Amino acid sequence: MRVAGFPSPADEYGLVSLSLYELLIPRPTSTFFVRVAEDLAPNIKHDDILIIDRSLKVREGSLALVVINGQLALRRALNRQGSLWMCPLQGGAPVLLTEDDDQLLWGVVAHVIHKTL
Amino acid sequence: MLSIKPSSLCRWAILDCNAFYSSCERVFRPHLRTKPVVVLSNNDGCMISVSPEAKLLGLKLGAPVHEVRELIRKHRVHVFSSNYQLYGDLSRRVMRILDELHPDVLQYSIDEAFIDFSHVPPGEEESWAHEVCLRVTRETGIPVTIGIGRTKTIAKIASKRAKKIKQKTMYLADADMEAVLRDTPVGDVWGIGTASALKLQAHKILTAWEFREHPNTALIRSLLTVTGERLRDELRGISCVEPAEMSEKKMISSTRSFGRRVYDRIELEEAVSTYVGFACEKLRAQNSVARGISVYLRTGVFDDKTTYHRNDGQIFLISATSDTGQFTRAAIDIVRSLYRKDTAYKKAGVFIFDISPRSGQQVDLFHVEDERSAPLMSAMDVINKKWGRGTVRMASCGTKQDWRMLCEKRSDKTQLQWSDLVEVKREKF
Repeated sequence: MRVAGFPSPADEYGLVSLSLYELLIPRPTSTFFVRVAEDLAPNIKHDDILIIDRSLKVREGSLALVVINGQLALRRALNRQGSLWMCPLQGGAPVLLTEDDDQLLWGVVAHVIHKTL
Repeated sequence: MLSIKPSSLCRWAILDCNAFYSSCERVFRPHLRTKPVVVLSNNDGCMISVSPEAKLLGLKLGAPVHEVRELIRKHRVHVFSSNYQLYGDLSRRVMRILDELHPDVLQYSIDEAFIDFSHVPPGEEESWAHEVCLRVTRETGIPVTIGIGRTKTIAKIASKRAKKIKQKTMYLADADMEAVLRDTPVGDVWGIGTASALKLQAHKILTAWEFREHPNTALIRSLLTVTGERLRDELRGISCVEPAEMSEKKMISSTRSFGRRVYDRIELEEAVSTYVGFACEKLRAQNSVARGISVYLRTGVFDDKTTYHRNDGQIFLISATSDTGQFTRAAIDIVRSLYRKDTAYKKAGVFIFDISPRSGQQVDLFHVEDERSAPLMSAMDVINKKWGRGTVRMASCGTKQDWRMLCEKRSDKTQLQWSDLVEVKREKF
């Protein structure tokens, strides 16, 4: 674009455009995207995108993808008597999460990209 | 003060991804974790990755898939066409993690890397390696093995050993050297191929230990040249083998088999033009120019319907360039000179050589490069990078591209397109 007339006083301050990537994906090596195929929770709906960071540890309240019967499933970690249990969002049996259990745990959900329209 | 590392502290680790391509296919398909999985080569011909479960069924790396169709059906082996975009993505992740953890990492192949372990406190090699394994597997989903030794060659043996005894890591220390090397066939030593192993065996050198202890240097040299002598030194703990330093490539190739036999000259021209496009893209990506191009055409090797026929030709351009158009014209000229009617072509390849950096380019007095070339080529590269390979190409590449290789079972679950992400569904009860 050519500029005519007066130079913008903002020019000398440099332009910053905020990067969503920087905000949502601080660790690209361990970050994966997963699409939500059907409504899973009141705020996690069909076509939302989960940003999974596999380097994150599961904590009380974390949402995480786990492997149940060979399938990926979204569950929430809840503390019961000192241990973390991966609890289903709809119904079904909670599963105990042991330290470094990479057979059960697929990755912790860091963000949900959710369309509001 | 200058600090010099004593050679006794020198240690190398090699990280090796287990059945890498199969493991990649499993990352987004956890239900395959315990199932037999194989990945096929370009054109779905041979098995290029065999998961341990598939190995137990008798499926072997490199074997043609048509020989084992029955076995595959009977045991419900999961078969994938190779998906190099997926493998490249996961490989890059693994390598970046290594780079974060250790100062000196040398990638050796898509699924292997040497790590300089000299800074690791003696006695802690395995625990450090274990830490690397845990992180790589947790963050990428790829299972890995690490072998450690005083040299790269010993590290390689340690890694093989670790896999054999189903351990994640193994440090092959001097104390265990004799026992392990006595149990290692000489052909299993890194750098000793089948031909070399046969030569050694003829002189009763059967194990890695016998090779290491062989007193006759002149014999070793006469059998395996100076390389053999170096390998023997490596087994003795003297570091002397450098994997080829990362350097600019002196030759760029793009070769591929067709999905079916091709008889038609126009189709051959389309295929070769497409390969020229890929090769020139690589050439520009490394910021080089080149003068030479060679093209070859050949029939199927195991094709009993026709006799084997291979032919090639080359052309030198007047001055070095990276312009796809100029190379394409040359390549088509070569195809026309090689083409034989009624021949069942199965494969074609393009090599670009006589490569030099763009900056040091010698200009021919009588040749002026079309000034529109550079902007056109960089526009093409930008578009193809953004919208996928081959979006913009030379018209000679054709539009139908019927000759393209088969990849029937290509997995679509990658992290490279928003449209084919892996999905999470509701749990079934």
